[in-house]
Amino acid sequence: MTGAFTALGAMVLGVLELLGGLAILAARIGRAVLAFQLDRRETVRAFYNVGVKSWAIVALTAMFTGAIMVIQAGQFVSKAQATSFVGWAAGFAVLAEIGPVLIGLMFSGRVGANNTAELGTMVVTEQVDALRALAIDPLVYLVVPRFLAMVCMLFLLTALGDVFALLGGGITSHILIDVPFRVFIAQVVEARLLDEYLLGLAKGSVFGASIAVVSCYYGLGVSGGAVGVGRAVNNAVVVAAIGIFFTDLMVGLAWSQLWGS
Amino acid sequence: MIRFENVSKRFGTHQVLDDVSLTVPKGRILFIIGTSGAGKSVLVKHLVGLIRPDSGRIFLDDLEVTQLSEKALYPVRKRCAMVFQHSTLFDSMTLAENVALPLLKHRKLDPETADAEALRRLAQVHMEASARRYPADIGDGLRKRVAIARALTLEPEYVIFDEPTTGLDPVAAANVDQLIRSLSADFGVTSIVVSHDLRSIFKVADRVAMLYQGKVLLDGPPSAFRSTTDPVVRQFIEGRPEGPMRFPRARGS
Repeated sequence: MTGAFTALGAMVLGVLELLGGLAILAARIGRAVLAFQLDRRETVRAFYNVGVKSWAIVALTAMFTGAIMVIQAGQFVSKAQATSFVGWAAGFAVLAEIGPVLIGLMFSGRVGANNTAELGTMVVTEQVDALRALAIDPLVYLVVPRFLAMVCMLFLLTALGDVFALLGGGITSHILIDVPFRVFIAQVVEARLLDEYLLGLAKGSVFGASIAVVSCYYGLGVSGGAVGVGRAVNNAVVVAAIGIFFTDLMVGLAWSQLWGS
Repeated sequence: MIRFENVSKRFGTHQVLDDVSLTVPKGRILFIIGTSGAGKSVLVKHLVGLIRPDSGRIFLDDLEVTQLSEKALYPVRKRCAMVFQHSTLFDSMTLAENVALPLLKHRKLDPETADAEALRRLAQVHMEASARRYPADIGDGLRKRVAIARALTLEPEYVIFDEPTTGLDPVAAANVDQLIRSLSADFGVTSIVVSHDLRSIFKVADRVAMLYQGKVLLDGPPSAFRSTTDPVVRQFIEGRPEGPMRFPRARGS
């Protein structure tokens, strides 16, 4: 019994330590961003690494997401003879919810994990200490550029991913449920899904911020060599995924409070 | 002048440094020696605030660095450069970019001027031909040379060399020795060199301090080191596996 309480206490302390650490890092990043403290060259490099190298995988993921939504919805709309709703149903689900979440998870696996591994390797090989010894603040030089790149690029990648998701949905509906591509797109346009589109973009930015803080926190906290880097990447991916679902809920609630009818 | 006053540091239950006091006069070269794990690297990292002591004080001239915040340490770090034991070049940058980084950040040079200066610095360590290569493309010894060039770009008043000749061929090691000597003789740079290289010690050092079990076992000129009758120091100099020396635990080399 005592052992169970000890384990529970340790778990609670661990969670509080994690939340406290993330909050402190987020506050320090926020202060540096507001003070425009960043390295321009590193920021350009981060934007390139995060955005340009990710668009293809995001586009592919989004296209499959749109296709799957149409396949799922198609069974019901065909039975109910309601094929005129397929564009609305797929567009609504993809733009507001499934698109940003799946793109966020893909982004976390590719960019967030890579960021944790890179920062963690820099810690264990003393490159972060070397920056400090050269009187260069690792937060300003390493963390802020990555944070800005992830926030801006996940916003843009979500916008791009939405287009590819609708493209995938349109092609699938044309092939599988005999709703021509042009009709599918017209249904999406007529459904007036601007609110859902904007909600999805807002979620993309928030997911980007959450993935950046989590991946930097675990990367900079690495100890224990290569094993420690592996453990940190694993933890970062798990916590970032939880962060995506949690912030999805929070942004959805906030959005409905602010703009919901 | 560099002054360590009664510095102690413990990691967990392991007392790495125990009441260490040392002084390095301006423009002089102090070699710190000792077995692996004796606390040499830990001691020198205290000087630039990468590690904080549990007790004791450290002075750079009249400035007590142990009291400074991380931000307040940045001006100190521009005056006191450090060459790490494992080079610590930035993997994502070419060798020239590594050397140019402090110039871009602190001297606000434009990229072309910083690059030209970086090439000049690399030439001083005979690495200009590899300027556009990445750290992963060259060996440990060459990386160490580049790390030395990077540390010297801001023309520091103090330099900490952590095992600068380990992994270098004898000619390259002699070049580094010559460079350390010339920094002191020509530019008045004060240096602390962590080393196991007895040849370098007798050629370059003004003073030698040996750390053993967290304490300063010997502190004097190289001649005193050579002629000592202390059995532990003698075993170290002669490199004998048998003797009174007890070996430290792994943490804190």
